[in-house]
Amino acid sequence: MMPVLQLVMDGLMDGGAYALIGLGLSLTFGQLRRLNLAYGATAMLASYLGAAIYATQRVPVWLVAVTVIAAATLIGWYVEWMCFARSGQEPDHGGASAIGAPIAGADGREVVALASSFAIWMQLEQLAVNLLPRHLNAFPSLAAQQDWLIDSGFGELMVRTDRLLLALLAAALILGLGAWLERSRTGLSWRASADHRVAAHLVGMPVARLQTAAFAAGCALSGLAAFAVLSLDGQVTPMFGMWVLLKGLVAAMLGGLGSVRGVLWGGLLLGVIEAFAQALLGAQGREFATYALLFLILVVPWKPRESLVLSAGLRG
Amino acid sequence: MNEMVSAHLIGLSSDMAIMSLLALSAYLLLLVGKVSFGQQAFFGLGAYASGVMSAMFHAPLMFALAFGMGVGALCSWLVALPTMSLSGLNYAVATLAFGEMARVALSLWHWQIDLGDGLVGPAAIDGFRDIRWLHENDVSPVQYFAITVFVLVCILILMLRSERTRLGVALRMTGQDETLAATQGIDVGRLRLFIAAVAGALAALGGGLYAHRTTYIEPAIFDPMLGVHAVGYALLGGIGTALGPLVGVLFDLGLLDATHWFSGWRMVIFGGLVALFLRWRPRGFLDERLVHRFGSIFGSKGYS
Amino acid sequence: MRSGIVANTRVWVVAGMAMLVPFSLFAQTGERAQLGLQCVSYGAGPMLDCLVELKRKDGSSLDNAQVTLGALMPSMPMAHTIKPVRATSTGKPGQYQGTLALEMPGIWTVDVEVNGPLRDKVGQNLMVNACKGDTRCTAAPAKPGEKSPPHGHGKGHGGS
Repeated sequence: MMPVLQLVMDGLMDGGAYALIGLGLSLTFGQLRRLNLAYGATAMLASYLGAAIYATQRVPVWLVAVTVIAAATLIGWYVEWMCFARSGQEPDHGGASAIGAPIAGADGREVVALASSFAIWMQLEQLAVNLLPRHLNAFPSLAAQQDWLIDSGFGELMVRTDRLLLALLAAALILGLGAWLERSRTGLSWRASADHRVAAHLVGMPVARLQTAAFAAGCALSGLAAFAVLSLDGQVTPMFGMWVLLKGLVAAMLGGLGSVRGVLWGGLLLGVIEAFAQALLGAQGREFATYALLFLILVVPWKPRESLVLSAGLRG
Repeated sequence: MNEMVSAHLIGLSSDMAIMSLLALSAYLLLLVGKVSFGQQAFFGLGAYASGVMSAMFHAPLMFALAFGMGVGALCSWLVALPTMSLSGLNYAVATLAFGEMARVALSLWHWQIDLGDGLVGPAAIDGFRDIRWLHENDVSPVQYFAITVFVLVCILILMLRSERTRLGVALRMTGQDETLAATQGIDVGRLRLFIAAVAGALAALGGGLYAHRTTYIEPAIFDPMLGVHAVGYALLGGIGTALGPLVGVLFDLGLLDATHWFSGWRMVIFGGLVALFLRWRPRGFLDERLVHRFGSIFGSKGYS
Repeated sequence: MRSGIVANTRVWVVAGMAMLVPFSLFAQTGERAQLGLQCVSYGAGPMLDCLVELKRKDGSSLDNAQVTLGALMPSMPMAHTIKPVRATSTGKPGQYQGTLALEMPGIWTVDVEVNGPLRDKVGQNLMVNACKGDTRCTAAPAKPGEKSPPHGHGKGHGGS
């Protein structure tokens, strides 16, 4: 019983990090109906900038955090301008107007934006590696020195305080953001412009600006998540971009792309599944389980498939 | 020194030919309107399969490559069965997921046999070494380059000729508008499965050629960036003709990389160009309009 | 490509088949070389100075061999092309030396191709780091597993 509880605990704490990472991706997908493949690379380049500043000037840790978030927002603005700025500006005709697009069909425009975003992914990754060519780069470390040993009824449960804090922060942020989206006026305007572009435009909402704001917020969140995760590791490597993208994608898809609260459950579930997969199948088995999970979500015809239907918009 | 330069050029050209096969594999799927980020998986599976055949069972090269192609075609077809009917976005993510599943599976696969000279075979994450068919049979790099180019040229001729056939036209129709294509009597489902199998075979062929060229493969090579590059080559070079992906490969590996003029900025330039082309010239450099205008050069008399 | 050439596909195919027949012969095993590889990185690039020791299977040193050094980066196999370098004999039996100009630090697969008394190609993965100043850093053998993401979760339960 004890090992199981420990696994669940570890899984939940890792899952909190995954949820935070997937939050920005889910948000931008909900707002724009476009998957941003450059998401991981954005977080990575921003983190590398933070690491570079930390290495060259001995700045305080909070300044590194601000740098990473600000950099992520700026880079996100660039990504949006290159790939998603024209999203939905032309009314969706479906296949007929798609002669010019490389990918035609009803979802042609989504896939073109996806393709653009992977091109920008390449750019950002190269820029990051140019900035800091080493494999291992130091990142300000906020890792806890001690762990808690909680005496549960079944024995001692080891809890890493820093990861617990991260998971709680993630949950609070996500639930707060979800509530804000559902209750506030600005949140309402974001959701309105996501669900019904034309109607929102007709009532005078600055749809393009709202979308840019939501996209920027998503990328800022990616910067925050990246800083949080990396500060616990104390280092950043060139693999970070791909890792962020894949973990964030699985967490977001598990909970439903576009649903803010969903990404919390998705992340936690992913964390727990990974913990068990690692215990049963080893580190590589855990990797396999993550991708297999993503594949199965997409391929098996689940009943509530709203997460995968492109018409599903931004939800709290 | 001249000898080293020519050795370098031969190696570079072989690499470009091999990469062209992978790019053509991505191109075929783009024709039917699907972006696949998983072609590197079939490249890897083909590399391992043909390596196993030639290094562990001493099969002749052509047989090993053909076996690899078969494995690639089968796996691609199996993956396409559940994924082809997904929307473009989901298909892209599903193939990405599958690509990673294949890579992790290869890094878990350990099967070595003792051939008297030490152990040979895939060694999980340490990779598969000693695929030495070329060395054991005294095939020089120039000869191997000739084989690789010959294979590529045959494939190209096949693809260019089939542009004007019913199959080629059906492919492009399916890519443009599935429903409309179906009303014309094209079995869209079966066509897409077929083309997925062909694409898998092409990628696997490239993988097999790659494995024998370098004699050492490891799962880390077959990561999503490889597949992403393949799609990029097809999108940049143009999907109006099978020569398009080659243009993409020549541009990136030939101009941007090999010249070292853009050292450290290759992906920035390449990625930027792909994104720009997608905005202003969505079907790539050699798009259908250009091909039509210079139709005689490509062996067709233009569309009547 | 003019339509005339293209139309004669059958001729191409037959000619090609004829060319390929010799390569359908069954493989014959050739003699292997034993490799000892030590590399140090220095300077900008970085540059990689490699010392190669070649022995035959019976232990005797392999002299007067044509040794070529090459390198590729496993993370992007067909990019980062490096000019192959002919390794010269250092004078000691079976020992050769060559310098590769790499493009960036990271994990590289350095391969040694022997075209002399026997034909072989052996490779090794090395972690090449940029070395500051005038110093030279040893490039240690790298496990391909180092490429997998080392983010926290592999650390298991407890410990920091």
